[in-house]
Amino acid sequence: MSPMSLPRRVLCLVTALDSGEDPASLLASIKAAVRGGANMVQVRAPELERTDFFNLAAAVVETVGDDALVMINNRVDVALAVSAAGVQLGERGPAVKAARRFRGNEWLIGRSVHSLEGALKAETDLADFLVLGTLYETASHPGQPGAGPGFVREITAMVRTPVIGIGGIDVDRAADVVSAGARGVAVIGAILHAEDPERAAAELRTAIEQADHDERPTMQGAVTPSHEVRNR
Amino acid sequence: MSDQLTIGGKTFTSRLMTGTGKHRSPEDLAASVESSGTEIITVAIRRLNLDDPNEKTILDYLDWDKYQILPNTAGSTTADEAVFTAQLAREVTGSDWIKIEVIPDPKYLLPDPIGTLEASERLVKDGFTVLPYIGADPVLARRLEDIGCATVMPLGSPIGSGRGVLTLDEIEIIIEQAGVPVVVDAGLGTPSEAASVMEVGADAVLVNTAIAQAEDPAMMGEGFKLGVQAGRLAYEAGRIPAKAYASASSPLEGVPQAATTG
Repeated sequence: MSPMSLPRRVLCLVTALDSGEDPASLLASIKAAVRGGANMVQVRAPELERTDFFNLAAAVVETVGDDALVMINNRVDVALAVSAAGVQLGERGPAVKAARRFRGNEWLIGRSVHSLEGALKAETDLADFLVLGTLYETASHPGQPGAGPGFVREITAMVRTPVIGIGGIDVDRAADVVSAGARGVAVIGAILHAEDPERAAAELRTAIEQADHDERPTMQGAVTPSHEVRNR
Repeated sequence: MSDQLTIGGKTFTSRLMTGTGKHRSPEDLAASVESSGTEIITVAIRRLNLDDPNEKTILDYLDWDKYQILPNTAGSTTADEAVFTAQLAREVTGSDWIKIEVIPDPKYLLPDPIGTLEASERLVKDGFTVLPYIGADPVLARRLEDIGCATVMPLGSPIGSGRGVLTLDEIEIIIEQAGVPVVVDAGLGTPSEAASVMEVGADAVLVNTAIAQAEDPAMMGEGFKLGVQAGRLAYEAGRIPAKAYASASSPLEGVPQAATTG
């Protein structure tokens, strides 16, 4: 297997199993989202026990096929077992280095970060990308204002590792996040709670593709992102 | 020796499989592997250690070019767990051989026949070479063979008990009916017990605790090697039928009768 590379623009759907939701309907929404233009699916279900999570992840991999990158949240063993494209590690999850040991650069390894310190640490650990949050107020954390696209600007000025924004992003905000320097966005509700997940994904994809994204390196002279150096 | 064991299209000279658990040290393990002549070694794949990426595992202590690795699903209590562990094992070891252990009960460690059948069926379909560990149940053994398992592995007595072969009658029926190799797994305590099942036609045995926990594991490994070879030779040679009455070793025909006085 050759090293995985991150798409030029990322639209990531993060799964959420609402209590009592039938996994089959979640799979149908994922399939629709990928048809619409989601090119990454992060399987996340901390409430599921190991084998149930494995079964869900295996079903997502089978459903998605080669049409999108399937990332597994935190469970390195499950990611291996289902031959996922990589793992998305929570800020308090396994170390990037520990996960890298199993598949080297064949895997994409994302790190969730919430601060500049976290972002710098993840860059030092050679994470392939950062999932940066929380950018806007979310349904899961009501009352907590998001850090906003300015936070994306602040982080992308300091790290060269690609950044994907997360937290309360809808189709209007997606363009702002990418314009602020993000490589893409990760969403849950904007797709899963939409009446038509395929159309919602298509609109998000269009928004991030058309956003005015500054491609210039943010640090003078440093034109090669660190993950590309490592993949040579 | 032309007498070879074939499992899943691969051939082996040794009919003794060994395990890697319960050894006192990696050196003990390596020494007993060497002396036992084993070519198939089973390894438990339970979890990945993410705390210490540099920690050595059992996979680091043996030269796997020389041995067929047989990952097992020990620690699985359900079919789902076993399937997950098997998938993980295939990714971590690169081998599609898998010994299925679905064991819900920690006291007797007896395998769940229904969970074992279900896990085996799913994994055979997924391209694994499946070696299920089962109770000595001839009907289950047939079912597992029918769905495409590479062997059946009936137990002699509970895992690690060292009680020998308490299931010989059932094992003989399994052997009589089987079209795939029958590997007697679990409970063997001594080389003579291994020999006893080889004599009735078992194709191989798997021994772990009896070697690993012996006072001298390397010597016991060699003992089991010889016991397995002795039993196999006896099976190949064809034993005499057991009879109720004595039959003198030196026949009496033609022996002059001593004179008797009246």
